[in-house]
Parts: sequence; C-alpha cells; structure tokens
Amino acid sequence: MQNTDSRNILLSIIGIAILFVAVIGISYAIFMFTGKGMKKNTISTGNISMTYTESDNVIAIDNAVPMSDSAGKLQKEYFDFTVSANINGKAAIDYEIRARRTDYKNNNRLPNNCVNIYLEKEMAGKYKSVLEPKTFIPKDTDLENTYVNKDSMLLYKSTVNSEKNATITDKYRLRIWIKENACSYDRVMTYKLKVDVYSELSKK
Amino acid sequence: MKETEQLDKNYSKKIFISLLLVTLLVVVVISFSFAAFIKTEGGISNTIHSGEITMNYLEKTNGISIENALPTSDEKGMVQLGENEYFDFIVNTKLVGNMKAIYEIAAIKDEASTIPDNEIRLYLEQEKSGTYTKVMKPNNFIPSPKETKIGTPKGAMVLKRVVRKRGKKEIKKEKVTKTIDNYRLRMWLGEDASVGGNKTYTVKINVYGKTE
Repeated sequence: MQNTDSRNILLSIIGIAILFVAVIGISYAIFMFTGKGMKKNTISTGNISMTYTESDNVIAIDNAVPMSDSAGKLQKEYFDFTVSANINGKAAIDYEIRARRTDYKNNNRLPNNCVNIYLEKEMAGKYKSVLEPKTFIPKDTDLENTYVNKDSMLLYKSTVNSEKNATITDKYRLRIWIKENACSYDRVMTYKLKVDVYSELSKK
Repeated sequence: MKETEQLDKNYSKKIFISLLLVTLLVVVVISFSFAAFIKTEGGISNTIHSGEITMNYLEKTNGISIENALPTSDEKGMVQLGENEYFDFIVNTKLVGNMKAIYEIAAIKDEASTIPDNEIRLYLEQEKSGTYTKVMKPNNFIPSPKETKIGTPKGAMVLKRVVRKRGKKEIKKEKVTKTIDNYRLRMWLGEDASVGGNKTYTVKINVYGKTE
C-alpha cells in the first residue's frame, strides 16, 4: 500500500514537471518567429582573359636610310602581333596598344622626331591603316583603372564586345622608318621601340 | 472496514488537492507568460490587454541568378533591373493590443560559396509610397559575430532591423495594426573582385521576429 502510494506520488510529480515544461515551452514559442527563405540568390563568375602575342619577326633595320611615307608604308620589314580576348559572359573590354622607347639611356639614340611609326590592323583579310605615319609623342591614357606608363605613346585603342561567350582575335602590323629630310647625323644611331597592350572592363 | 474507508477517503483527498495544485500552477504560469509582455502606459486607464502578434514572410520573385558575373560598380549594381537581377520579398506584421514586435532581415550564406565575402556587394531597398528607396547602402557580406537578441544566428548578416509598435491612438481604439513591408534585394560582384575560376556565392533571406 505504501509502495503504491509512493509510486503514485512519483508519477504525479513527473507528470506535473512535464506539464510545466510543456506550458513554458508553448508560452515562449508563441512570441518568436522565424521566416525561412527558400529562394536562393546566386552569383557565379565567368572568365575573361586577354593575350598579347608577338610574332617571331622583329624590325631590325641596319644602315637604314630616310624614306618617304609612301615607301615606308610598304617596306617589307615589319612587326606583327596579335591581341586576343576570351570572354565568358556579357562584357566589353577596352584596350590600348601603346609603344615606348627603351633606349633612353643610350647616347646614340635617334630623336623622336626622326622616325615615323605606322600601324595597320587586319580587317576582312587585308591590313588597313589605323595609325597614319606619326613620330613618337607620349600621350596619357583613357583607361581609368589600369596603370599605364605615361611616357608611352598611344598607337591605337579599341573595344572587344561579348554578348554571351566570345573569342576575339585582332591582328596588327607595325612599321617604322627614318623620315625624309627630318634629321642629320654623323654617326651610328639607334631607335628601339617596344609594344605594350593595356586593357580593362569598359565603362560604356 | 472503517479503516479501509478512511484510507480511501484520505487518498481521494490527496488526489483532489494534487489536481487543484496542478491546475493552479498552469494558470499561474500562463498568466505570468502573458503578463511579461504587457505594459501600461501613461494616459491609459488601469487596463491590461493581452496581446497578439502575427508575422508572415513571403518571397515574391525568383531568387537572384547572375551567371558569368563581372566586376560591377555600385552605381550600376544599385539599379540593375534585368531578369533575375533582384529579389523581392514581403514581411507582414499584425499587432493587436499593446504589443511591440521587432524583426530582423538576415542574409544566410551558403557554406559552399567560394567567392570571398569582401568581393560581394549586397543592397536593400524598401518600397515607400510606390517607390523603392535605399534602407541599406551597398555593403560587403559582414557576418554577425554572435546570435542577436532577435534570433539572427551567428554568421548571418543582419540587413535591416525593424520595430513595429502600436501608437496610443490605435491602442485606445482597440484597432488591429497591419503592416506590409515590401523589400527588394540586389547582389553583385564588387568592382575590385577578381574574375575567373568559376566561383559562386549564394545567400538566402530569413526573417527573425520577437516581441518585447
């Protein structure tokens, strides 16, 4: 009899405790809210690569003589290079082809005004002029977010566009020659030029 | 026999008292729980109202989905309106009685995301008088260092915290206060982000609410 009573009391205490916890739990649950989102918001990156490729031929004119612009544009000594863009996604890339002198420390360097620079771009299988004969003149860049050597000369700028995915290849041909009646010199002089390509996402 | 009867009587009395105590305990606990959320304000007569609050979170549009994303300035990102370039959702609240509710809009990042937090930009607008206006300026994903009092978990980012409270006039008139808050989320790749490697970044929006 006593055992039964004790068991009943114990069961009652357990029942009350369970009820207490349940009531407290329910009471608190009423005053908190969680709205869980089901929709995912996702960004995935694509791919952009720019490549500048130089051909094996370089301009190396020994004992160069002054020549006219019409002759200079046709001379068989030239330098070919390619600018390629591989874009996954919709994008526009601005790029600039620039040239810089690499012989500033050379005492026998030809002055800038003695040499013409001429650039062509391949269009529909033929090379056409994009920079008429011009002497070296440093010019600032239009690119805003890319460091560009300020002592370089802008030869040509262009934009490549991709709507979804695109591989674009632009071919260029560079010629240089000593201008007619521009300079006189009494010793061996040199003229060294290097081509660089800079690019960034277009702001347009 | 008499003894048995007496024992039975005592036992019944014990059961009755136990039941009475349990009932009293339940009533006290429930009353205490409600009483903890009641305030009396000056100007209102000595009346206590029990309150009721309802919250609802509704996702209006599909989630943002931008593939082959490129670095984008904040100026462009804040106005992108193309398909799947923004995400609209609604938070509804209904207050009855003298209740104050607080909710937090939180961005929960998918752990599988591979784009760094500091290369992602998040921007939140709210509709006011038919026009969406900024309520959170463009920001990188900034995880909360600990769980907030409202319930936003550690590691999530609180985009906005809103307090909904009934005015004195509304309480006097015993009206129900319903509020519909329309939000618009935008997300883009930051201007200085590096592109390439097929990386991803995913967030979901949760809303956590609590009364005070």
